[in-house]
Amino acid sequence: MNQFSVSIRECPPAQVVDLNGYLDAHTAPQLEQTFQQLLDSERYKIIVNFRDLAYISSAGLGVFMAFIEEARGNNGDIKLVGMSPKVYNVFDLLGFPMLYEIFDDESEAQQKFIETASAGE
Amino acid sequence: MTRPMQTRAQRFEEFIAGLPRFSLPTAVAILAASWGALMFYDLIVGDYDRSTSNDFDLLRSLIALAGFAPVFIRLLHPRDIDDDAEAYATYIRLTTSSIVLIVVTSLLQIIPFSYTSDAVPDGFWSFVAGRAISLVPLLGLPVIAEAIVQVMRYRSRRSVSRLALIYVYGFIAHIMLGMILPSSGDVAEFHLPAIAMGASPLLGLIALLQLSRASWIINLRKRQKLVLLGLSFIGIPAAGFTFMLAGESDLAGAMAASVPGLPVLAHTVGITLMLMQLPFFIRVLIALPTAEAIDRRNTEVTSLATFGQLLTRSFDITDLIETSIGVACDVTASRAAWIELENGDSRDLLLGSAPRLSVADALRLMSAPVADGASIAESVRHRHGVQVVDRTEPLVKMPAKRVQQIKGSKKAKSTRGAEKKVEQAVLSTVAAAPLRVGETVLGSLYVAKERAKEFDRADLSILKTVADQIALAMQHSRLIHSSMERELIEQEMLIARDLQQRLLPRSMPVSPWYDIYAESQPAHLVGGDYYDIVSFSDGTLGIVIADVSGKGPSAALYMGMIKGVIQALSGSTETPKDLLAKINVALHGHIDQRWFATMTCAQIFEEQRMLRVARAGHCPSLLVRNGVGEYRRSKGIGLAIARPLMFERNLELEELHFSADDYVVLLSDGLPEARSPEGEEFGYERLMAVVTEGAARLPSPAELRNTIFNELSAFTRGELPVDDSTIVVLRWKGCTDAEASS
Repeated sequence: MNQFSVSIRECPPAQVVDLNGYLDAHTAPQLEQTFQQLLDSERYKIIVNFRDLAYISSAGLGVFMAFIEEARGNNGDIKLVGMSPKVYNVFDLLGFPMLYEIFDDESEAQQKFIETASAGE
Repeated sequence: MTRPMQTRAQRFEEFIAGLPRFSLPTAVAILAASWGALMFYDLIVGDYDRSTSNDFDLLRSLIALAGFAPVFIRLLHPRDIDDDAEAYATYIRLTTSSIVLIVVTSLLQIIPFSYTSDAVPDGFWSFVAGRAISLVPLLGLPVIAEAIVQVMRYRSRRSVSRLALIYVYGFIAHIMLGMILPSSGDVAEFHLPAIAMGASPLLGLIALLQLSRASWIINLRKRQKLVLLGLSFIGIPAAGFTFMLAGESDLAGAMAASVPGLPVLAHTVGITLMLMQLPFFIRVLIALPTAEAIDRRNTEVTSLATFGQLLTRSFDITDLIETSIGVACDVTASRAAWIELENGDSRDLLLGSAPRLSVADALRLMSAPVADGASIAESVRHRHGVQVVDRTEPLVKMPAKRVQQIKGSKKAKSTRGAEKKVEQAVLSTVAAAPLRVGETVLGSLYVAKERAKEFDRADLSILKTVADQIALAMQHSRLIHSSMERELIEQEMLIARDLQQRLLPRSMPVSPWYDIYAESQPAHLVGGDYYDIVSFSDGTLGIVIADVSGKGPSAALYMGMIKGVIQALSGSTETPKDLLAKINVALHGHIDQRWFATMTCAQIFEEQRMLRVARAGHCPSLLVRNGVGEYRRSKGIGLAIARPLMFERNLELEELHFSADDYVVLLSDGLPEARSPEGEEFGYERLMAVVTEGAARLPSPAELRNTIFNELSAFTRGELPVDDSTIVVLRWKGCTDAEASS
């Protein structure tokens, strides 16, 4: 059984979701639960850090699609950072870069959230 | 020396077995016929009122011998008794017929007649009366004799069974001697030769030895034993009288005269019976005190045997529990039994379809405290052993109505009788055993009795055995159920697979300009890969290859849906881009948000050797043009991911031009992502190398497919694929091929 873990940490104004291991059909529900938790507590600015993610399957990709609309609808977003070339390739093939903001670094994403927030005011 | 003797014995046995075997009524009828023949002989030929003895008349003896022959054959080759019940029935028949025989003969002797000691009748009427009366023992005795032999043989060991054979031979020889040797009505006068006299007690002794092993008596029910006791008690004097038939001068004389050997028959049967009945009586008497205990053990054995059979047959858990409760009650002689089943966090109380106590009562009994104060229910759950609570004061009083049900079910006597028993119908002791398989506790089995201290060690050990059996059976039944469910699912999957295979096109288009080959191998029984041939509004054909997210049945379901959407839309669209955009409209927002599909669609313009390709997130297409391999990856988002506008704005339509002997390979990601046992991916680069190299030999599309899959299986070395693999290979034909055909 492939291992997967997910954890949340504070990175104002956003929340960082750290992924670790294999994200596939078996482990996707864990991530889903994490997203649901964040959205339920009205934290819509989310950064997903892929640095420690080894593999992502199509079921894993589906999780992001399930929550992006709700996050954006509440002045938030799901931004993706720290992808390995291999993981990026999977997202790229599917056309995700056209839909999601993908950064190399966590701070870039954080900066983007700050900018959007101030622009909104 | 032994060997030929044995064969001789065997030969004799075979000879006996080969003789015609008459039924008992026929045998007796033949005997009666010889009686008639002898009477005829004595009246007409023998001149009855000669007033002389008819001893040493060889012809008379031969007639009698012929009459006895069928009886002898039956004795030598008796039908064996199969079980205790039949032995019991045979014994009853044996004793009752001996009693009836004596009673009837005694009654008949009221008719006055007189025979001299030389068996010469006084006159015509005494002749007729004597012959008529002797007919009764003549017909009754063979029946008794045969029953004796049958009982003797039943369950005897081999050596003992020889004794039975000796008895039969001796018996037959004895009667034959009695026919030929001078007979007399008065045994006391020793007219019978000493050998014939001495043989009777000897034969009886053999029978006695034989029957001393009649162990089957022990296993009889108490009621049956009581019947035996009574019968053998009356049977002793009856046997005595049978013995005396031969000694009673008038009747013995008449018997000897009517059929020679008949007094000997009575004599031997009588003495055997006497020697038999007395030890029988004693044996039954001895077996009586333990009868109840043996009855119970027998019930236990039968219940356990039925239960054992049930274990192997029953898949129905309700059935199983019903039987289990009954068996637990029977084997421990308990008033009530029930089962508590653990179902995850909850517990179910199962009292069977005809509960002998209420749920509340069961719960009350289960809360009875054991020595350290914990309830018996807790204690049996956690200590995994058999637990008992004994109380001198009643734990639960059973309501009068239920008492009637139980007590009155068998003998519904007066209600007053049932009411009287209310006082006794309290349950004072309860025992419980865990239903356990290995470390898993499935529940607990409870039994309760009326009086305290009634569960002895044997009860508790048998309770444990039954509990273990029930637990095993439940486990067995659960396993069968889950495997049946699994089989059902597998069958459904097979149907799904079949349906899915039918979704794929049955044949590929045939064209003078190109050859095409396609194949899809699902990683599971059903997969999410799909390929198809579509036709656009202008009549051009297109190839579609798609991969639906997820695997297994759900992916297959969506695949079916996509097929429907494609077939519905393709006829009204002009380009692959149009088609994909329309599919995206149809799918986006109408299905599960987490779900998506990738697709590549290539429209074929055969005469221009051109493909118009749109790619919706699907893995890149592999082209081999002029021997050079290349992946094409036009811009495009996967289906059902983006809103229609966003999707269409980002979807590129590419025109690819080819020349003769160029190849196009559309694939799904299962191919490049196939792994070796070490976990290495086959990869896009390796795939391209294989295809380019293979294409250099200008193979047919099917041949190229084989090259690819051969390389792939050499790489994966039997490692099971994680994803479906689909491939569509198109080869552009040379000019000459095309023009020649067109």
